[in-house]
Amino acid sequence: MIKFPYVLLIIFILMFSACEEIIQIELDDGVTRLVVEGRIEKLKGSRNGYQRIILSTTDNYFSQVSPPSVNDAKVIVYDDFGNSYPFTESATQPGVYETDSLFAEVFRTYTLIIDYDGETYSGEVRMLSVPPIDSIYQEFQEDTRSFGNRGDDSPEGYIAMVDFTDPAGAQNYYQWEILLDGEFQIEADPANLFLRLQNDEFFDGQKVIGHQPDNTLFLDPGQAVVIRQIALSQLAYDYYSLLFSQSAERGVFDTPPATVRGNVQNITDPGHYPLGYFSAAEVAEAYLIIF
Amino acid sequence: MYIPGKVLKLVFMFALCNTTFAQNKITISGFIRDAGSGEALIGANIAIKGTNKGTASNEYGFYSLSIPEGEFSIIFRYIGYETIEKVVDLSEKYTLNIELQPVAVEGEEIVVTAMQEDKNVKSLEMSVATLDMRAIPKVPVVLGEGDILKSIQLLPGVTTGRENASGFNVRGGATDQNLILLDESPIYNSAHLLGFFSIFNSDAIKDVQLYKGGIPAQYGGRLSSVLDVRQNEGNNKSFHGAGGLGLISSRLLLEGPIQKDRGSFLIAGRRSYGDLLLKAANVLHDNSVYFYDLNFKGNWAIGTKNHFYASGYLGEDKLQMGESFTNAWGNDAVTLRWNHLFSDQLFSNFSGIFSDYQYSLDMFHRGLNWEAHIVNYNLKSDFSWYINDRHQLDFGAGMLYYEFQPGQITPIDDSSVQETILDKKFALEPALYLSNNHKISNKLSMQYGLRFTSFLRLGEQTIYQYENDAPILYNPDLGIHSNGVVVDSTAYLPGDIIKSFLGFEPRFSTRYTLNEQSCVKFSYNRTRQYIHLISNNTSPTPLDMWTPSGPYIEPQIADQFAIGYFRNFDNNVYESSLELYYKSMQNQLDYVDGADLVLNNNLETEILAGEGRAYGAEVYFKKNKGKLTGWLSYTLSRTERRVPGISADDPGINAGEFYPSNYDKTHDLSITFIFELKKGWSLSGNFVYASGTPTTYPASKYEFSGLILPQYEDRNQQRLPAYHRLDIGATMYDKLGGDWVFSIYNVYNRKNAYAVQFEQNPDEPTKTQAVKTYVFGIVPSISYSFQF
Repeated sequence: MIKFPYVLLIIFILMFSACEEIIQIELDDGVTRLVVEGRIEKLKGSRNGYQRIILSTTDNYFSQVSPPSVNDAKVIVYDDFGNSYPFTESATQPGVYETDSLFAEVFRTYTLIIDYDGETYSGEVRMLSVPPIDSIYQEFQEDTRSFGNRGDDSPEGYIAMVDFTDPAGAQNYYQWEILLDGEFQIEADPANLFLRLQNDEFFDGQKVIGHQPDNTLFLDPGQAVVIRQIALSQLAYDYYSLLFSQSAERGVFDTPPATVRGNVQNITDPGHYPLGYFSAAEVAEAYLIIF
Repeated sequence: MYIPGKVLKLVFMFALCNTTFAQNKITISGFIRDAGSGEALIGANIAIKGTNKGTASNEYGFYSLSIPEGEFSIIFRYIGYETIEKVVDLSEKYTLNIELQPVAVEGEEIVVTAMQEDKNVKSLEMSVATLDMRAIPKVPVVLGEGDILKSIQLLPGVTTGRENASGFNVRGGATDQNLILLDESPIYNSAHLLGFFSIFNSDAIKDVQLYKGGIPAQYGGRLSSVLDVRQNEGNNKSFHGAGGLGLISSRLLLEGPIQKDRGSFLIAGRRSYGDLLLKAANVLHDNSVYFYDLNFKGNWAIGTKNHFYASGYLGEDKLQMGESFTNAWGNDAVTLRWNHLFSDQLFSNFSGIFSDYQYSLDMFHRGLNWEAHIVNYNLKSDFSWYINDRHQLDFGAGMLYYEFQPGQITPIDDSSVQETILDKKFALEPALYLSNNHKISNKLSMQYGLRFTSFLRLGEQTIYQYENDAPILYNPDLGIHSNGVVVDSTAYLPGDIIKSFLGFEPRFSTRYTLNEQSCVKFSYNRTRQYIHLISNNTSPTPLDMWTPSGPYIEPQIADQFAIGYFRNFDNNVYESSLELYYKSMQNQLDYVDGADLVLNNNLETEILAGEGRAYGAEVYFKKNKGKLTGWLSYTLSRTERRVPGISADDPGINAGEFYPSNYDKTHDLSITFIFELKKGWSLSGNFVYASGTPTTYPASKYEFSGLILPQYEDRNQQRLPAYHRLDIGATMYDKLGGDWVFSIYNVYNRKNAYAVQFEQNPDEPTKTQAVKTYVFGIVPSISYSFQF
């Protein structure tokens, strides 16, 4: 489904952007919840054994530091053949749990078990396949929208885009990630977040030409771009759609604030549910150096 | 509820047995009109001197009164007009058409009440507000354009969720629960410019009545209120014009006779100056925003018994944002009416009504166009039988046909978008009503009536069936709702009945007079509403869709009780009232978290049904006459909602407990005054104070996928800061009959929160902040109106 609320947000931002001010509000500390960010990945056309899962907790909304990382958790992933893959916390990055030996395969089911703070959490996913990126290329564009939003004085440059062919007859959900010179690019921008997520409702079985995962990321010659095309389940798609809409929450015509629940549950105390998502995805990658 | 047959019989028995005593009575009837323009006067007072017998003219200026033979002095009175007293010697039927002369009010004193000055205590109606069109331009509003909907929001019991939203909430009802009628034609979106203006051009409007409770049986289809707006007919004596120039739009009206005293026409238009305001705010570049609207009306009398009216409205808004998108919406409405006098005691009106509300969106960067419509065809008849001075029987029938076209997606340019048409939905809503206005004694009057409605959801449409009849599933482990599993579908053909509903709506109101200056009133009404606004937003937006009740969506039902004490002082110079109300509402729609409501054929997979309740006290105090006029209204209220889950293990919203709804305002106060300073000048002012509306602030934040996200727990547990502001205005009448209105909105420049949003600091993304949005600071404006 198309996410129109973003458009309406923009109307609002445009009409009233002159009338905003930062205010001070006291917010009580809410319940502290575990946050799970994990994706078992299989790069299309290659074998990779490195996987990681990031654990953190919620924090006071106005806390001025990064959310606290979780350091003493026990993290294990099982596959449906009964193999277990323990993840160990990185020595250099607190809260990041890693393994080098999980060579994932599509259509296999993975179960995550986390023991943390006396409670056990679990999540289960099946890895879906993703069609390859047929081609990646660049096109020079000016920001034709009046709301260039990266604060650039001259919003123009090269936009990276991809072609791919959607498999016919099946419901497919996609996510794209962009790395620019090795840096992961994402921001809470309602104008382009919906380009990061798509379902094939309007292009089932067709070749999609010139999809721009980010149409406000203007690139200069010499920059290296990696576009990652990721298969999502419907549950994951719904999760990311809601997550993005909440991250970009600016207001008036948008959906009301909502709790974004993922696919990890607290088995010990279901009411003390965790946040975040545990997914497994095949990823098609393509890269381009802007010329 | 389930004994309608008995009730009907009772009504008829009352009516008939009383008729038999009325044989030696003589009927005097006629029309009451403005002597200058020939416009029918609605609600003019007709009283028999020396008795307490009397009546009031109806929407077409007609009155009928049956009194014993003899010589009487009859007084015709209407506020703002010279009172006329006629002596008649009644021995047989008598037709008496009256033309009342307007009192010259320019620069002297104005009167902020319409109709009879003692209506507050004499009328049976309660919870009704009548706006005087002459006072509207004098009430200061933002950007200086007098506006009906803005004026209505200054009345007790009427609130708006957010500043300058044209949608309004009546006694805790949602914005889709107001039946907004323009010459009987339903208006689905009353907002221009996303709510800065209403679609009603005050110049073309004769009469505005808002029923908050005690809704008469003739009205139906919405739960919470009826806003009945009637256009002027046009001057049938001579040609005139009026117009105005404002900062945002200008307007022009022309009217005149087609044939003197027989027929007349009126045509009025408004067009905004595009994007001046927004350009000034430096937020628009190659973008534009404008609206226009056109009102027209013509009428023609044939003989004394037949009168034909044709009226219409066309309006459109367009909002273009660069090469990104264009959004347009508008209402078209046409009403054809035939008034017929079967006898001097039986007045009838037959109406044929067409309306089309359309909205569209071009999204250029996605290469698609989306267009949607709601089309209505309505045939109805209304009869008023003035049986005698104790009974007036109103009855009628109607047949309303709906065609919902929720959307057609077409590719624009050479995009790869597939053409998609969402399912059209069809429905028929027949209605019958009967109501008796019964004067039981000099002190006690009652109106009791019954409305019967049915709603037939018709094909052609394919309806899905879900596993276990569950269009929504709940996963208690993850706390997530998801779509039900489709197991079958039924393809209904055109005309097939997919689902039908029917129900009775009892309506009752009564007045007990305590003395000349005070009375108590009580009312109860049940209302049923078969259509729903699907909107997951706090304020209505042009893209909100309406959907009919059907296999998975039940009709909304409300029961409202109200009781009030009404008191006038000082020979009706002051009037006051205190009303208490309680309203309960069933089948109020809410949505699952992250509901996908746009372009969705199967809304049942996103909807949770809940209930609502609202209760409150309304105080109204008004000074009708003198150099200083104005009113104070105060409402203390609570509006709550409860949305249980779909199953025992689903906690629903806020654990299935009652919680304050989005537009709950504990205190709502407004004070409006108009002061005639000296000849040629008047001053006016408004002060408004309202508790902040409920909102949801984050309980914490977390990081995921490189984003900092707010974590929300329970809904509507915080409130925005209180809303208050002061507006002042001055009106100067010039020698040419024009007037200048100068106004300052929000004099002390309070930055009232429209919303508080939580976001990442754009410069330091790891930091989060709360940002208050406010719409208007201090806004001065000027407008000029003229007449010729």
